[in-house]
Amino acid sequence: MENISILLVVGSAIVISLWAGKSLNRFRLPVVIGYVLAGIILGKSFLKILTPQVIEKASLINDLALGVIAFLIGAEFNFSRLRNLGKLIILIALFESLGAFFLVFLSVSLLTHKVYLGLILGAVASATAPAVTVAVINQYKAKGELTSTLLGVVGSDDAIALIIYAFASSIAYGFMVHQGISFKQAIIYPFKEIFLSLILGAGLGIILSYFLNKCKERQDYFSLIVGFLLIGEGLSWEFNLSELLVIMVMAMVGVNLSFRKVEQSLASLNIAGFPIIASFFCLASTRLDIHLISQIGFLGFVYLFFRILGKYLGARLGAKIGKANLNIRKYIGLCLWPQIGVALALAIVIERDFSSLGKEGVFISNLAINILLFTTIFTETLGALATRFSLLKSREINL
Amino acid sequence: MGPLFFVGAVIILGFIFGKFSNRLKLPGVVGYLICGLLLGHSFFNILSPSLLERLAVFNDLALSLVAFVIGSELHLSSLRKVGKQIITIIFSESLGAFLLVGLGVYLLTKELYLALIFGALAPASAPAGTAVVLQEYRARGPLTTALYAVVGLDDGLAIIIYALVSALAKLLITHQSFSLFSFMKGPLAEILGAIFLGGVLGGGLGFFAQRIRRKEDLLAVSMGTIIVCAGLSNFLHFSLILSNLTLGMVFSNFFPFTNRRLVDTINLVVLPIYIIFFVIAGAYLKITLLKSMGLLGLIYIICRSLGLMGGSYLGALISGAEKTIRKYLGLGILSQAGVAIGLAILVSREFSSLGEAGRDLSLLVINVIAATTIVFEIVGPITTKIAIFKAGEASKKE
Repeated sequence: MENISILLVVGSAIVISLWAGKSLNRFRLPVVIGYVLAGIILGKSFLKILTPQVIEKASLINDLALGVIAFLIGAEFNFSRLRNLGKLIILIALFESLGAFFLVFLSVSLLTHKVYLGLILGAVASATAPAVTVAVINQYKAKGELTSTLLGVVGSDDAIALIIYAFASSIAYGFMVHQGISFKQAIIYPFKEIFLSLILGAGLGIILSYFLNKCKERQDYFSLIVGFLLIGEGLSWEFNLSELLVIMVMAMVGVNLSFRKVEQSLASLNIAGFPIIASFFCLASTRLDIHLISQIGFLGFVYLFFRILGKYLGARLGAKIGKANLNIRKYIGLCLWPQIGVALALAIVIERDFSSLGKEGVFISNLAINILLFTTIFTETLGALATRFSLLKSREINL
Repeated sequence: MGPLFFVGAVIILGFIFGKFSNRLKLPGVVGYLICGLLLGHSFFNILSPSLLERLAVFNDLALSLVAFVIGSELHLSSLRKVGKQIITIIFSESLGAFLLVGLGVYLLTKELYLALIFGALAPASAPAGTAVVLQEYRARGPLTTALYAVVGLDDGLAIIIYALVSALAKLLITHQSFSLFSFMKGPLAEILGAIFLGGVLGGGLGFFAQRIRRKEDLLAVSMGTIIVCAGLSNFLHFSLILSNLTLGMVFSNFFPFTNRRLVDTINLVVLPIYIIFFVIAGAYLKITLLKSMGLLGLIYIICRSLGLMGGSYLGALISGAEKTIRKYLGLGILSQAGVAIGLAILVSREFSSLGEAGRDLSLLVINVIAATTIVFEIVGPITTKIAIFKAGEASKKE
């Protein structure tokens, strides 16, 4: 299968993952789980059709998908929408993300004595995925305050996860490259990187909206956005900046400067991005390696437990500060287990950022994606049950 | 800089050039090509050959999409009415180009095998150059339908003419006889295999697509199938244009409504892929060849244009096609690109082993075809635009 062309790899990944997604949809499971399952089955642990050598050729899909994901996240941030979202949702999203990050970071660092590993896994843990939650809510036609708050939180915490990752990875990178780096350097370097990423993203966003404002046709908007997206990624690689952050900020600036046009092209971006993202999830999941299960074992359990705990405590704290009602305070933290989505994108970025750092780098990037994939089995299934339980208890669904 | 940056920059720069070219009342394609010409080794040499090679996947993608869109325009219901006209026109424009170029080259060089080979390359048209212009100006009408059908389907005939004639030319150079079958085997497999592959995938896609409601799902499944079709065609050495054309045609005829929605969706997102495609095509052009193409190139250009236009005029006249088709179809099909260059490369592969005459021939063919492609690739879209505006079939103003 080594001489198989990139066209065949990508094409079949798209068709197969869509088919798997549709089939799972019949069992009321979100389609994204279908893409991931398709990847796992075709990947290096089982059928060995999509081996690492084969998917290496399709790395362009990763570039495009990461760019599209970051852009879609950033484009959510127009100021009028933020205002509607409300303080409570932002507080809960902030605290649950940070809660999961800190608890996983501390527990993994203490367990493995590797601060960088703790940072990376903590950042991955901070993301939540809306797909399962939305599926449960739709299935039981849930309605109420908890439901609407929950939808707001799972929809808006991706940006927080990206920012956490940008800081965490950059500190971790510093620790790995310069052994014995001083604490001060380890903090200053990331700030510089992130500051420059913000500037580049904002600059590109301004130029993008300048061009957008000159054009009148929908196809034109789409071409411009795709072009700037790729330029942004290329530049962030060149200058070692955080590509996700650059694109996200570019989209944020773009959507606020030329709202109507970005909003219109989001439809096209969603449509065109869909096969790209589906095949991206499929190809990313081929990295599941069953031989790692014995090595991961306890660490995976620690990650899972402290992530759930961190989300619960963080959300509870956020809800308390935001003066939410008791229902939300008690139950929203239980609805935030599902993770497969942006976390998988982060795992691929980890592979890119760290696998060039020798053996240890390859090891941790492998570890991150495998822990994510293994624990996903629990977070998505039990997570759906936990969400259902919470919505039942808070009387927002009627059986 | 990594390749991603260049891909992004190609899209933005191509886009800007396209807008400039619109301002000069020219189709966007011309701007993309000129942008590529400037970025390529003819001028600034920013897009290096190794980079272009890595972007080759966009060529296949763009050509497949163009072929799919063309196939989608070929409805049997309308073809049944004008099918005979189209077939007559395809044969007469292809033969017209073949005969006139052959005659011109023979009168100039007095070498029969040269005349045959150049004549055989002349009918090959470039579907992308024509179809993208039709899309840009949202053309609709009898001429447009005929243009889609002719540029889409004449590639099959071009491949067959080439196979027959190159066999004859080999005979003239080496004076050994070949069996006709051994020569036709490859090209026929290329064409029939492509039609079979596209038909099977088109039927399968239609079967699944019927049950899909969301636009996103529809686009994703079809894109996946189109890409698989392209990959398999490359793998099996089938014509990627014909297979995707058949795919689109089968799909659109069995499931017209689903297909209409799909093509509208594709049109929303396909522009960046077209831009990359044409900028790359422009970057491959070597402007210096224009100077060295000499009288032979000039004759080729004149005879091919006259042959295509005269041939389609005659074909339309014989088959009683509409006046607009008779007058303007020839102008719409002048583009020459990938298929002709592909055949020229085939010539050099097949003939360079046949002694000195063969080697000279291959070099000459590659140079002249590459040089004249510069002219046709840029002039073709412009004349296509003129044709649809004269026929009043463009629904978008300049």
